[in-house]
Amino acid sequence: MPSNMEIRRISASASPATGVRSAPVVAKLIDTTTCIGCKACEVACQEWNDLLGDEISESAPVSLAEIADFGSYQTQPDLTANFWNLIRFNEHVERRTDGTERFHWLMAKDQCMHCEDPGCLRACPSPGAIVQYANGVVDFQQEHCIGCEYCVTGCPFDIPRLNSKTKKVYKCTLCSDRLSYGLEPACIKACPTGCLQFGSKENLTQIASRRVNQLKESGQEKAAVYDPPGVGGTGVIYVLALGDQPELYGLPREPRIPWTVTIWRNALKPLGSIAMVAALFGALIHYIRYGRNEVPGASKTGEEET
Amino acid sequence: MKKAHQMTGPNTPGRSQIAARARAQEDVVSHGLIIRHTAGVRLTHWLLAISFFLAAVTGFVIYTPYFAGLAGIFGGGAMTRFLHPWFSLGFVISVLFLFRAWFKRMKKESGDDEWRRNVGAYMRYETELRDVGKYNAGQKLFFWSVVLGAAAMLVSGIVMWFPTSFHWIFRTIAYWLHEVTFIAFIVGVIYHIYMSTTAMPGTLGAMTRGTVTKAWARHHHPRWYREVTEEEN
Repeated sequence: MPSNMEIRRISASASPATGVRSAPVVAKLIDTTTCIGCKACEVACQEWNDLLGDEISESAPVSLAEIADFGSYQTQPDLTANFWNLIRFNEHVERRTDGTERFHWLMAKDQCMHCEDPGCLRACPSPGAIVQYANGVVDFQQEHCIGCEYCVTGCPFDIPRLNSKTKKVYKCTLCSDRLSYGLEPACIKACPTGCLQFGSKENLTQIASRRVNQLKESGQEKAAVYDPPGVGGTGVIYVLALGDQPELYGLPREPRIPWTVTIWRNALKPLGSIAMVAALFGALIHYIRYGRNEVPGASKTGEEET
Repeated sequence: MKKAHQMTGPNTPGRSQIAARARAQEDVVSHGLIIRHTAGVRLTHWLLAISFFLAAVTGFVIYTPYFAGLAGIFGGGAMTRFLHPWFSLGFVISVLFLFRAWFKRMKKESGDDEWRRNVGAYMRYETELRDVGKYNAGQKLFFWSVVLGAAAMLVSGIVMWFPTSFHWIFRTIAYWLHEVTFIAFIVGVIYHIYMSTTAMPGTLGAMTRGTVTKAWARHHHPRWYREVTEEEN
């Protein structure tokens, strides 16, 4: 992990995270209306993170045959452990009022959303395997990962992917290594249209709502910002032209950490620990109150009775 | 006194004869002791105990960060996660063998309701019930709980072993089932060990040498005592 990044939250730790220095919360803005599907961000991500051409890529769950059968402009069907940033070419047919149909690509940049309240971090049982920096970036520390994939169940966006060879889980780091040196993420750097922007969340939220207003004025009255409150907001925010239907972009309408995960981690575990300690004390109290059941001859060899 | 010393000392004929007989036979009297478990049953039980202990400790590492430090003895967190299902598989297989050996004797019997009504008095050492067979109602409850618990652990454990092969609904159900069963197992095992090693002297021998004394059997399992010894008590 970048040593100059303050840790705000840490997975499965008995003590709080170490960070005390504050940092501006950063965000990535994806304006889907100006994405041209050039995939420069995908290439930049793979290049910067050195993800292509290594042996690990051969163990990715997506085979070349699957990709060939896929029949889409999209690079591959899904995210994999060595592909953290996928431009989804969501195909959408718009039915106009005059009866004609028009084909659209609803571009979406599938990647870790860097939730303010990360479900992966809550579900993780391994101390320090998932951290959230003071700037809001959620990062996996693979050296502490045990490969249980609890994070996969905890994530409302279905992002983390297990590498079958290393048995560790991987996802977008928001280029935390670049951020720690004051550089913007690789995908931002590569984007030619300005559809991707990086900065403080506060600033980008304003830019996003300005852009939404602009779209509404130009006739796209359903435009909206996607910054779901169910996970406390995200570090990756969207401008969607069809903001009333985020599902069309492959984005969940109201993402939340599954309540089963929240109660499991926050209530069942402490109650279980109390029950187990109480059982120990119960046995101790029984021993103090009643002692041993000394039946005459019960623990002797019994030879005397023959 | 001389006789007692000879019979209880190491390598005396009496001791080795009991041991030899206890390898193959149970529910018989041998040199004044009653053989409660054959060597095969005892071996299975100890395999079960060891695999349970290993599965439980590796489970605790993943269960709570307070025990995460124990991961070191298994070679780290990732290794613990790798080993846990294999230890657990050993446990489930041991339960299966013990189930085969015991399930016939764990069926409901005449005195079980009476024992259950008197469980408080039994734990206060105040009662001597006459109609108790080789296993009392509490032991039967523990047996069936372990069998059921092992089944629940196996089913949920397979889902957790290969989580992404299953829909997330099944994964969350598995997490809950695995965890609730784990808590129940630990609570149950705490009392199982407490009763057999501390609260009820004379019990542990049934799982070590395989024998119990007549006095123990007469007190805790009188009907079984009558069946084995053909004596009245």
